[in-house]
Amino acid sequence: MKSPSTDIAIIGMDCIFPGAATVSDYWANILSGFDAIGDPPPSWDPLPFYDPGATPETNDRTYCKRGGYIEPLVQFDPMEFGIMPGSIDGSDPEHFLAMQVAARALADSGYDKRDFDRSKTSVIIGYGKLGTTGMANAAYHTAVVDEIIKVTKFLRPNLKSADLETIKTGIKARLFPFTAETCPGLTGNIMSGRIANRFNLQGPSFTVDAACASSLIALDMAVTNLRMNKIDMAIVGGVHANVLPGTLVMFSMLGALARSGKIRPFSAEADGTLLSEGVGMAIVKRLEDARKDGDRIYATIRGIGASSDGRGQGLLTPRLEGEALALSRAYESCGIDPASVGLFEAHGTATKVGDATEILALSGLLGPRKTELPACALGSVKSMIGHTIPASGMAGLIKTALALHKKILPATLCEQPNPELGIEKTPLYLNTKTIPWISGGKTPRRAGVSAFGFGGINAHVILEEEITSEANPIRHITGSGDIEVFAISAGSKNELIDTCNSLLGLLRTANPPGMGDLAFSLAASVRFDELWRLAICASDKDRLLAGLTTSLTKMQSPSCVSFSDRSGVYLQSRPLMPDGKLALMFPGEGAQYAEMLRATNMAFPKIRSSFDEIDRIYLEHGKTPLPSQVLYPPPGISKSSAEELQKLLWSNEYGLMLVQAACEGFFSLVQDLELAPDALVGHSGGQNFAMWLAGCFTADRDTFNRHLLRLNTEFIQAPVEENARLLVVGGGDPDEVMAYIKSIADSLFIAMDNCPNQIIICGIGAAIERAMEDLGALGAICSAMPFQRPYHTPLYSWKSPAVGEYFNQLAELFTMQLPQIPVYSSSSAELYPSDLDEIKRMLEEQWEKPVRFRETVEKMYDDGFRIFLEAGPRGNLCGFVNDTLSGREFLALELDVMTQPGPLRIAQTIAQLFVNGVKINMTRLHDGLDRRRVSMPGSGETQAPRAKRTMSLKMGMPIIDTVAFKNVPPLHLADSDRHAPETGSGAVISGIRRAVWNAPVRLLKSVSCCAAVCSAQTGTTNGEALAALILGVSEKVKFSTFSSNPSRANEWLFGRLAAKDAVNQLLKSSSLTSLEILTEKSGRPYFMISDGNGAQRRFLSSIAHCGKVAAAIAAPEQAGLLGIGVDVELRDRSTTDLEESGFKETERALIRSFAGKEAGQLVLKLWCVKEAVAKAVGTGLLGNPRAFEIVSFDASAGLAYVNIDQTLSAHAKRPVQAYMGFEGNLAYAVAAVHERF
Amino acid sequence: MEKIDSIDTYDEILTHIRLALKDVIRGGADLDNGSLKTGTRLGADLGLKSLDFVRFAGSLQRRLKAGPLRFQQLFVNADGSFSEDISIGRLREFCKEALLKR
Repeated sequence: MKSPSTDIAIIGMDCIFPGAATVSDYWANILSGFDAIGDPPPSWDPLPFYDPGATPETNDRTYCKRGGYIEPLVQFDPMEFGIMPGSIDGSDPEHFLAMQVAARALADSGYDKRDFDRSKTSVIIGYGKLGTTGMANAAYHTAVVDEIIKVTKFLRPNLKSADLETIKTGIKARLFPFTAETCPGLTGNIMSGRIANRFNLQGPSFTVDAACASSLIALDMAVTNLRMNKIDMAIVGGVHANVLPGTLVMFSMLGALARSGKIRPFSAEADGTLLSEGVGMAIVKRLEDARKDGDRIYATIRGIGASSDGRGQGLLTPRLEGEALALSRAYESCGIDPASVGLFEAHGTATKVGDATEILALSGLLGPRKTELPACALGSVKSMIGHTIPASGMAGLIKTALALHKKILPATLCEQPNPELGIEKTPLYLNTKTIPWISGGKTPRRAGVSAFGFGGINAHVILEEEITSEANPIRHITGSGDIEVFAISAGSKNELIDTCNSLLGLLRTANPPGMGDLAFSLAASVRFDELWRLAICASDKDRLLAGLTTSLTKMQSPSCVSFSDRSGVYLQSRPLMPDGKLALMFPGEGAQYAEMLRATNMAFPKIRSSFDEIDRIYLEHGKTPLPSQVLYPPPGISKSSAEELQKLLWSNEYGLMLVQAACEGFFSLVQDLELAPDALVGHSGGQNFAMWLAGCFTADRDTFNRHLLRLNTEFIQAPVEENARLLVVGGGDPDEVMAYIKSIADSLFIAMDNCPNQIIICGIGAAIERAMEDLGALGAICSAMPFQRPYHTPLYSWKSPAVGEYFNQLAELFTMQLPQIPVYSSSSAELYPSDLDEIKRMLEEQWEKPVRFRETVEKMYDDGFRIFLEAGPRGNLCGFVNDTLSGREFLALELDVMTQPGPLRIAQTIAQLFVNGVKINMTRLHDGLDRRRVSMPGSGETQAPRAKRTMSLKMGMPIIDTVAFKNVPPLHLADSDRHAPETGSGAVISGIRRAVWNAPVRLLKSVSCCAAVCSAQTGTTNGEALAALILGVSEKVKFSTFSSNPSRANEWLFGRLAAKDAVNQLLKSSSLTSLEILTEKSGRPYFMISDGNGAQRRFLSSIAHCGKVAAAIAAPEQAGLLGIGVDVELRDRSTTDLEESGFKETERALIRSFAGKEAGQLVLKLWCVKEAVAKAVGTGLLGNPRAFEIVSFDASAGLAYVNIDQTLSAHAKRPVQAYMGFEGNLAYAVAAVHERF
Repeated sequence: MEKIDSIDTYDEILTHIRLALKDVIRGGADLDNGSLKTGTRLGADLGLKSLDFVRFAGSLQRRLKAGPLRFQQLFVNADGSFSEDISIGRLREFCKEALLKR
């Protein structure tokens, strides 16, 4: 069944997106091209989720952490929505952000205060479950904490149940709450139910999960219900308020994230997408109802198409056929020609396959490019805020609805479009520059918004501008950086100072008024009978405060009666008006420039509409390119196309029309401000326009514009002198310059005498070249005009056929009458006479007569004109006036200059008009902007708003806080030995005894050394845990090779611990993991330790193990010391095998002769001696203990001498001395090898 | 009009430039040598338009009392079009060179 084609209106909107707490911030960011991508907020810091080297196989790290995060913007006042603060933490924050934004969108539509049928209002929200804070928190409470306790118990078997319970309670106390009150906040659909509940809405309310297309599918459902009259209004939204590490890791494993950390859809540098957070809501209702109810309509929804990919390449791979189907269904649903769309807000994720598929789908819809210039802008807001997944469709929808409402084509961030996409073969251009959306087409402005989701769900929405019969507001506000004029009048200086001080006080209160409201209130309060006037142009509170402070400082001087500050602060107590007169000036051709009025056309819709009009006329005449394309060339066009457009800008066919559109726009602004000029004056072609404005030609705007186009077209065909050139001459001595020109009057003509420092001369060929050289030598500056038409010289005779024909037709097209406002002729330097025939003659002849602007200005000054307001582009005429009247009392003000943003220039001009006594209604600047009057301090009317008690929402992952362990006593590795070194880490490994070992130190008197011993005290040692506590990185790698042999692993670990404890005694340190034991080729261990000044010091070491005991000795490298060795054996070890295999017969005889029945114990110690010596020389026993021969010993002194086989060691020149003994249940020996051996 | 008499150093040229700028800039009373940096541009930073350039050149020429300085070479491009903008540093260099040629 075909859906009813009822159009749907978007009547309210609001949002929170990265970098934008409100919809006005969002729009301001879009206009300024703000890249809101950043690193995760500080609350993520404890999370080790980021590893730039993460691969698709890494399932716990992401290689990209950048994205669009909104946490810094999120503040919520639960009481505003009747929510108990206690239920906030632990719930999914999305619920409350959705509520907050929905409420603001409703307020934006005006229905927070108006009645509507709540029983037929729905809440439909696009929302996907990609993991939420609340559910993660619930998982922690229900499972993760128990796992942590299990691990803790394993690591600390001696902890009592009560200790573990304390830890568990402590961890849970630091998590977000998980209570019955938070349960609703963990259920996705309650997000919409909560809004319906709050606002008592009884239409179907639910959430929709269609991945990245969720918002637009939600919109589709709302539109369908509206069209079928099941509901009357809907709150539609998209919510993805919380990117979690798990989501990032998921996209990291898919390789979809941008390694560059930038998201640049359709760009040559695009390397993936970036995830972001956001909430957007729109209020929609049937267009017919919205119009009837007088709602503000941002845009109209004309059609929606949705599709699934069906059987594509994969669930995560976009399918061209699926996207194309959604597009075609949208346009078929409403019968709109896709070629009439001026802006496509693409899904544009910046993934290679996604971008390529989307361009193919759009080019299939639009067909190939048939014109030289592209006609349709392409963009994606993801380039600024990232990919908000289920909310992304709403981000695009809000942006596009505002683009249609404000008539602006917003930019997309892109340095260089991807040439592989072939965009230049389509009617599209990637719009990288924000420009006014000028449209003269027969159809309203239209735009398409796409959203394509994982799993193959596609949606496309067609929006259209709402053209109202009501007058547009004078200006649009962006919400950020809007310039306001703060105007104050007072009867005296003191009164003015008092008002300034009051304003300062008001601005410094906790709840200062909005800048717009304040500017409006001040504008409404000014009195034109008060002579002291101050005006401050400012875009924010700080600038206004600065302006007030500057003013107060300057006014402290008794002599201060006026000032004009270049920052936009103006004071005047001796205004030029009402005694003086005000003239409006209109420039002619030559005032145009590339991108003229770009900012002005975006801020002042009525000015922009003048450009719409000339586009319309060109379209109707089939002329291309359109004036708007000449003025604002589409980005990305070829160099030759750009050069051609630049030429056209200076052509007769386009130049004057563009200048006139600007003049007409500015004149409409002047009229809106209720400013009444005393006279008009035009310069060159501006004279015709001035006469039309003065009512001399009784033609409407459309007829006049058509006529002008025809005139210009025919001018081009006029047989004028081709070799003529125009030269701007300035500077130098005016008398000398004039004398020179007059000296060659036969070949040079003065076309325009603009002011003392500028005349325009016209000449043919070589004459102009020579003049340029000669005048330069006189100190003049000569530059060529960018066109060669010899206006205002005899070379442009009215007798030329084209011009003559034009004036003949002029008489037929228009009825002429005397001007309704006095108009000065810059040809005669007089007012136009009160004789229609004479006026006609003057208008005809002006093209061959020089412009005498300097004389005209002089004449006007003599006639009492003191304020000259230029209502046209560039501001050249003000320069002429300034130069001409230099030194006299007057004011020349422009509404446009090339070097200043238009709205700022306009504000500064309005401010100066005001302080100079020009009657101007500044409140009109606030028409349609929902301004509220601000009560001034002391008026007794100020009512403090209810103080908000906002709270932060818990975003991100719950964190296990180690503070839970604070009451667990620290556990030393050697907790039974007071002398044991500290672990330095506060670690909790039980069952290891560590001790300082003094005996060998005492014996090795010749060596400064320390020794330590450690032993296992319990049956099982957790090697992994011990390794984590004591090993450095490379040691851990080595440790991992013992994984198949836990007992060897623990023996090795104990040895390392003993060695580190030994060296730490020397260093008086407690470090373990930072002390890495290195190994010589021979296997002998050593340390290299930094002294803190960049030098490394070597420490020798030797390690011995037996059973669960390890011993080690360490000594700093010292002169003559070649090595140290230690060995230990269990005292009860059997020695029979040792005696047989390890000792020569001569050694055994020596032992027997000396030891008798104690021989076994002696053998054990002497074995240790052999081992210790072998380690000290760095060879080890090499499987041949007999090569280390005991040649003598003193058992009672614990001393032995060892001869080493010369084939084994170069140190075997003399016997090596070693010491031996028993310590507890151990036999041990230590040896040191010195150079002297 | 403020006056100074010598043009011996770059700083003195800068002072002449500043005073000439004050002649043509409305509300330019707060200009001082410190606010004029080498990179300060007459158009983009000080708001001069093409005619202001010419007026400024005339004023500067008069202040320097050195006769015509052929500012055309500075302000006009080879194709005859007017230069988009000029920096204080370039201007000061041009004046110094032009004065040395005198």
